[in-house]
Amino acid sequence: MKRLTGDYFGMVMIVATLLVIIVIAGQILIRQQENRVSAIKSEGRNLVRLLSNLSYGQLIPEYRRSSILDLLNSKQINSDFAYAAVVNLAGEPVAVTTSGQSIIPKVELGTDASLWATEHEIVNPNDNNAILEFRAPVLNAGELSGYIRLGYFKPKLELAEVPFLAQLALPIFLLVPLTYFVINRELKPLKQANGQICAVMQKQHMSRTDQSQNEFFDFMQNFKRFVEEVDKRFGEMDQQHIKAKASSLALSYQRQRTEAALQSLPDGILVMDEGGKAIFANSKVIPIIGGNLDEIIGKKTYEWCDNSQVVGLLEKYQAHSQRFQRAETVDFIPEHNPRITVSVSAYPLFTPKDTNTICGTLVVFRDKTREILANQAREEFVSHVAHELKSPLNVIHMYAESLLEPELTDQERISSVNVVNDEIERLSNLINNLLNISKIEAGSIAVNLQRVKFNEFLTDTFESVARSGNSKSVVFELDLPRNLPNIQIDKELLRMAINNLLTNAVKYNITGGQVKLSAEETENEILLKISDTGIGIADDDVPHVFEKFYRADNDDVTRIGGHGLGLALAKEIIDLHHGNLTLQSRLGEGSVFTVTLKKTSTFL
Amino acid sequence: MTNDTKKILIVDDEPHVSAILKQFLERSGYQVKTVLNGQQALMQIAQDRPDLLITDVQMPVMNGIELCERVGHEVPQLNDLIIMMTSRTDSHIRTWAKSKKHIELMEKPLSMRRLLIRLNEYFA
Repeated sequence: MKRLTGDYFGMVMIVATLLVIIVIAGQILIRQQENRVSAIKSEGRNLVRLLSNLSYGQLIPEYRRSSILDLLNSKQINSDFAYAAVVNLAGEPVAVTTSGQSIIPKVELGTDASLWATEHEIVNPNDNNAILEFRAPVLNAGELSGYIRLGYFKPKLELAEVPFLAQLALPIFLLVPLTYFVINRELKPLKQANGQICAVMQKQHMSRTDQSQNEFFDFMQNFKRFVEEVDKRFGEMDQQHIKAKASSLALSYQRQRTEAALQSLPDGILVMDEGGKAIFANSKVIPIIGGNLDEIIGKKTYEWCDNSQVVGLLEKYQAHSQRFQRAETVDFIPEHNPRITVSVSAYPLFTPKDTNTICGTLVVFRDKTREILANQAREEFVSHVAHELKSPLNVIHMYAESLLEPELTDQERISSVNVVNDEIERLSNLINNLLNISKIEAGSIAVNLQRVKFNEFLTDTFESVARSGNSKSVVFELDLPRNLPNIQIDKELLRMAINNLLTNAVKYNITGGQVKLSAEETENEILLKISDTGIGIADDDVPHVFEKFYRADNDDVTRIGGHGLGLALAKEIIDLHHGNLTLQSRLGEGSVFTVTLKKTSTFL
Repeated sequence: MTNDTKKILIVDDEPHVSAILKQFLERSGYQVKTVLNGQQALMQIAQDRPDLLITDVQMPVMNGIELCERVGHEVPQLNDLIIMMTSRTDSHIRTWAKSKKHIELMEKPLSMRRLLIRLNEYFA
């Protein structure tokens, strides 16, 4: 299209040049003709006057002498000369001379012919040539006796000049394409640039580009518009850049926050795409399934997981994800860490707006070990509690049965009744322990604060444990400063706590071991130490002994039996008093439990 | 009761239980010794060669199950009957006891009269 426009422009230029040449040539020819006409006219006028002044005799030759008219013809004054004639008043020629190609046309001279020279333009009816004729009267002895007619061919356009003019025009004409070519060549880069600008502007959806013949003007217009557009675009882009930067910062912050949330989840999270490849995993996945993240991301389940159960679950889930719209779970023990049990749950990930389209699978790895242990502990606890409850019942039952024996002595009877009473108390203590810990845990215990004489309180508590006797012949020792201050406590609860610590010290002691309760006073606090020479507690177990139901995995502890409640209850009670319960222990050497109580009354 | 008094060993960490059983069974003509755990029981068995063993299950140091496993081979007269007093109805004790024909479980709370009937029947 642009090419054609260029050609069209060239054609127009050529035609215009031709026209200009033709007009100029025409003008030159017309001017030449006019010059000849005016030359003819001045010659004709002068000549005809000159002739009319001659005498008739001079004009009309006698004796066959050549007339002056013949002289005119032979001298060929002007190439356009046609004829010269002297006519009488009737118009008949008296003397004639012609240039040989012309015949004198007949004309009506009229009666009152002027005495003056006149000019006429007549057309020769024989050959239709235009003739300029000059007439003047001829006087013979002062009397009008005729007219002299002098005829010239009216000059036509001299076409013989055309080739010459053409020769002149040709180089001019040749200059035109040359100029056009040169200009065109000079414009070529501009055209190309214009084309490129147009293309760019079209591509960039800028304002419409104008296409007209004037490419240079177009170019300048387009270039100007282009520069403006580009300037505008740069402005917009600056703005957009700032906005984009801000929003990308916001996005990355949100992303980081989401990722932080996913990372700090307690469970391992793994996301698989529709194809079953892992696309995200948080760091908690690693300790659970082993390996490292690089070995998981981008891989299919069978590539990172050795456990056939897990692979089976996830692949089944993958293959039929449309059907598995609900979560499924399997438990497995990872090969690299057989001590833990992991539950793997797969959940379908639905696209946010369409709950029928599944876009992947969410896999949650949960370390179930603690839960399983807790369940086991709870089961054991229930069975321990049952045992603990049944033992005194058993004793009560047997002694009650024995009371029916007729041959029983009074002594025996009394001792039996005492045993029954003791066992009932033991039973009731156990039940109280259970109720209290559950109340404390539920936060529904009523704390009854009293100012208590601490020396007295500790001695009483200690004595009751020491008195209750034991099968291990443990030695009891009480070491209290004389005047401990009175402090505000819930007597019943704190007694229970210290009682639990002391009975534990007995329970887990060796035969013939020692149990000691000592106290010491500091500026703000009272420290109680309950120490034993028992089996001690392993380092691994120390952080857990105050957990409810926790029982050390130790044959000795298992043999001794217990419900894993005593220390938990003691800890809860001392916490209620804003105190502190700590433990130092060495396996096989014994334990020291330290109770720290504040002297000043505290809000409970 | 006959002249050859049967010797019974009672193993229980609960002294009250041993005491009342001892009182009751001695009154019924048996010779009764009591110990606190499996370990003491093994020593007593080796020394005293009792005719019957009555044992608790849950005891410190050595429990009733371990005691039963270890006692069988050494003392032939104890291969016929060992009475276990159990408060636990756990299936593992029951399955374990089923595999041993000479182990007899008696549920706590224990009826001393029923125990006496079983003993008399056994020694008849």
